[in-house]
Amino acid sequence: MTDNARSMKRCFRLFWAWQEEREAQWLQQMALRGWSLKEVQGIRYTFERRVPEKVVYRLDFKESATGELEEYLQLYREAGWECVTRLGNWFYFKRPAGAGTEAELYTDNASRLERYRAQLRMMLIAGLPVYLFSVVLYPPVLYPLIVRSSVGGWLRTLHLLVLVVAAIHAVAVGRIVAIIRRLERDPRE
Amino acid sequence: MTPLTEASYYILISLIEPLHGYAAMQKVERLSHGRVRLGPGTLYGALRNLQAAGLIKPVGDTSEKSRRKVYAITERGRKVIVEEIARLEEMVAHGKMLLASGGATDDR
Repeated sequence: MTDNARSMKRCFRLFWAWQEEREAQWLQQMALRGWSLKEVQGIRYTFERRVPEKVVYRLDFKESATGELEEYLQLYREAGWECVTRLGNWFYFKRPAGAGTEAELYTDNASRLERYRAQLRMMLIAGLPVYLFSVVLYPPVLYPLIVRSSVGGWLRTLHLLVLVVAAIHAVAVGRIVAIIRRLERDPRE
Repeated sequence: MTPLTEASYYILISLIEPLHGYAAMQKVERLSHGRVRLGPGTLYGALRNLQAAGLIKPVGDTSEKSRRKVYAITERGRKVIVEEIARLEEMVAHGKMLLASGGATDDR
């Protein structure tokens, strides 16, 4: 954590894809302490010094980030949600706490389901190379190559790393699938 | 066509008069005396799905500072509303009938 002239603050925080509520709560607490989110780059969060404010943060996932972006942001803006920043397909919205309008981005299970299904699709596509590499880099597959070279140990380490990433990805997919299942079982629309 | 969600149904009937998305949402809220409140994510999704199904279409509106997209119901959309109303009326009638009769159907 660094404070540059006390007007900016950078934090490194890691939130997994299934922890968006926790992430939003953390951002709300930061705003209460006078730190307003400005930018998110991976795990690096940049905050700006502002008057402490009670706000609500929500993260939204939009599948196609380019198409109809203007209309999307306009609708959210009119509904009282300001887009603070985005990180790929993730959009960070905030609005004053306790304002008269609807406090949630999604107000029925049908649209919540659509959103999480889009998120799952994107995660599976993004994860494909990781799974592919964990097979390709599997030592027996590479055996003819490893035997005669000195890169064997290095490849083994790389494979282990890829396996760890694949495992974390699998957990994330499992969590999102669980959310989808729960929504599907809910008899309410 | 599968039944419309409540959000989609209300957005669809509100677009019998051409409106931009947020105005449609406000109309739905007024119409239902605040019972049906749509979050922007739900609204955006409903507009996209209704458009993809050909039930609404964007209409050129140059009078407004045309950054906002104005939508209107299509002929197909009108047909779906009529069918949907018939389905909803039937659902209400069945519910009332079984509540009143203590669960017995009158067809035996």
